[in-house]
Amino acid sequence: MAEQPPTPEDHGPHGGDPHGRHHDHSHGHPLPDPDAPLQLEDMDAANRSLADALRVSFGVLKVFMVVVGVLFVINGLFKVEENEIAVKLRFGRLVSVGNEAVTYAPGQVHVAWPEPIDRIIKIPTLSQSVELREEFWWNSDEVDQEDDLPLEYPRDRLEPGIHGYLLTGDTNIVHGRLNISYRIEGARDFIQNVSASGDTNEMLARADQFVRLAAQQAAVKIVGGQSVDSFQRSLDQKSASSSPSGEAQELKFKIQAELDRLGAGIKVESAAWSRRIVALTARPAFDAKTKAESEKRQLVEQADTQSTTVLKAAAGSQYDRVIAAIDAYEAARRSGNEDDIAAADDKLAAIITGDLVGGQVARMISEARSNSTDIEERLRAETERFTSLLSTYQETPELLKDLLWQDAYARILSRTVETFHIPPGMSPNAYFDISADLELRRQDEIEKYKKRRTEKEGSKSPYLTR
Amino acid sequence: MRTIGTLIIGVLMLVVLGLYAVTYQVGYNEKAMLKTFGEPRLVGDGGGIFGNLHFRWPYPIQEVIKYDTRVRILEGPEEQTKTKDGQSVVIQHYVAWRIEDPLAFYKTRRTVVEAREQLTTLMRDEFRNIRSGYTFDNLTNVDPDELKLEEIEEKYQEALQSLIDEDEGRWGIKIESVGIHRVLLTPEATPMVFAAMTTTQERLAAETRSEGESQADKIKAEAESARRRILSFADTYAKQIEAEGHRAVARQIEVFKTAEEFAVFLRRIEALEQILKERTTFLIGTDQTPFDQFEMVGAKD
Repeated sequence: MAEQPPTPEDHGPHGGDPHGRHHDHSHGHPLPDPDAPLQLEDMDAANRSLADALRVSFGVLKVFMVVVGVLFVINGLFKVEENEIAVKLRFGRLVSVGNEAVTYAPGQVHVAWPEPIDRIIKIPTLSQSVELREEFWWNSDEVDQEDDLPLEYPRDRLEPGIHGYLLTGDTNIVHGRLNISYRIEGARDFIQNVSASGDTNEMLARADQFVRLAAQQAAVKIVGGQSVDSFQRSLDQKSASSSPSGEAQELKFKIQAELDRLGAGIKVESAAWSRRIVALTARPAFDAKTKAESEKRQLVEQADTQSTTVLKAAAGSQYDRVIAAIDAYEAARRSGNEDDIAAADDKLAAIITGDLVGGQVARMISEARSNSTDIEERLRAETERFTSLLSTYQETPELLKDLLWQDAYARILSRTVETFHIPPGMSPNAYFDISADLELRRQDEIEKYKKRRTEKEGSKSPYLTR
Repeated sequence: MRTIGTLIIGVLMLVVLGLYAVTYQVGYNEKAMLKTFGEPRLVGDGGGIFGNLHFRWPYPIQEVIKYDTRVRILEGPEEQTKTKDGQSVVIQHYVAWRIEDPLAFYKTRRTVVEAREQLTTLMRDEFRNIRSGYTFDNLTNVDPDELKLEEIEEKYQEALQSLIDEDEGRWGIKIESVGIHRVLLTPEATPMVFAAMTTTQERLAAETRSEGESQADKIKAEAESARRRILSFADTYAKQIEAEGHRAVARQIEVFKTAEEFAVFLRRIEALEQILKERTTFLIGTDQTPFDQFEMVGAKD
């Protein structure tokens, strides 16, 4: 092999020779002959230098390979955090058992082959919430803090694309804000149909998009099928949870149905209106109607109260049982069945004359019982008296009658009565004045007296009453 | 020995690099086509080594084209149109679609962007056709039989899918769902609706007040009626109870029959005692019994 004399480039930037030695051409040493053959010792030095360089390079490469190997292994380890699950794709195919994807539980370290053999997709399972804040609301920057409503309302017209709203089934314009909470549950469906990016933010953004559209669709259908009264029912516009449970269930059901149709693997946990309000332009009229409804309720409640009072006064607190029994009796009468009539009559009698009724009915029954008892007692006493005197009467009837009459006469006149005795011949019989009211009696007597005086002027009445 | 190890590592690296060049994976959410000298062929699900790992010749002999088959959402614009009964409405809807046949998709649409553009045009035309067959009342109505939103969606989805499938050169996509998510009025119509809302509510308020008064009157009248019924029946039963006492009179008469005159006498004096109990004024002649006794005694004297 022909040796080539070293060129200035071979000497490198510092002008050194290939062996690394430095030659000083200005020190007076004789210059080598360029045509002289290279010495053996010079060859050995070059080989050693090359060998050293190769050895170092291989050493670095081996370390690099080891590091790569270690990284390769470490890359296969993965940990699933709380509130997420992981699924594994091996050569692109979902690792599953039957139709169910194998999921890796949180809180543990799992092993997988590094990509591209295995690919781990972590899916957030924490409950997420989406608010349809602007979709059915009008835009305004300034918000009244107290009412939490935008200060400005486009009272003249609403522009599609700018002002959001919903139409009710009876063509009223309403606004609302809807809150939906959801959770990713079906990992297999989710990564197949929604997102398999592995980026949590992107996956949640896609899930939000699905939920938003499904919720809007559900809201349009539900509100479009109900009256504005239903939309407003049980609604306090400041209340945060104003959705009637039935409507919330329907919302949830419809959103879920659409998500299932899309195979999203998303489960809707709740859906509820956080705000609902009719178009502010017509709100005063709605408020007036609400007031009218309140007045109506008040009137009806008052009537109910009065009704209850009247019926309680009539039959006590169990009046409804009495009415029910009367209704049953009258129904039996209408049916014409004698057995039914008798049974209903017995039941009604038992209720009305029983201890449950009160009020006027109870007093009437009590009075009737008392009267009946009085009659019976009085008759019993009369009968006893009659029976006890009967034998005496049969022996001396006139004497007994006279004695009994005198006794009675004495008892009557011994009471708080007024008695005037008049001379014989003026009045063959007694005169009784038994007016219950003394004042009336007095007035009556005064009138009679005046009349008599007018008729018989100057003459005195034979009667003197006080 | 060292040389052998190095050789193995080198060979392994070559193998790995080689495998990268001649294999490809089809993801769980993907479908793929293999083009051999520009001629595309569908890669079936599975069928590769380890499932979805497939061999191929290196580029430019073979080229792999993969499509993500996830559901894609395409929202139509808010578009003003007329219903069957001539009402102007603004409706917005979305279409959820996916690439189902990548071979057909590749041949006819090529890219997702192109497909979206063409689908948007198709959506606008077809949706207009469908909704023009329905009245405004079919879009919002409190009568569930008249509300046809779901029917419109179903018909629209069928029509759209049918168009896509029957179009010259199938699109290779499947319409998974369509949804109407906005039904609005035209800006010109909203003032009229505001006015109608106000008028209706004012009328309802007046009716509500009237109803309230009417209901209250009815409740009171019913209560009064019920009260009268209750008292009427109570009176009947009270009389029945009192009749029990009167039946005792009949029993007593049987006893009194033994001396009728005496019985009447006893009852008369008892009646007198009851009637003349108090606050009675008597004007009695002095010649009447027993006051005549004074005269009789005086005459003797």
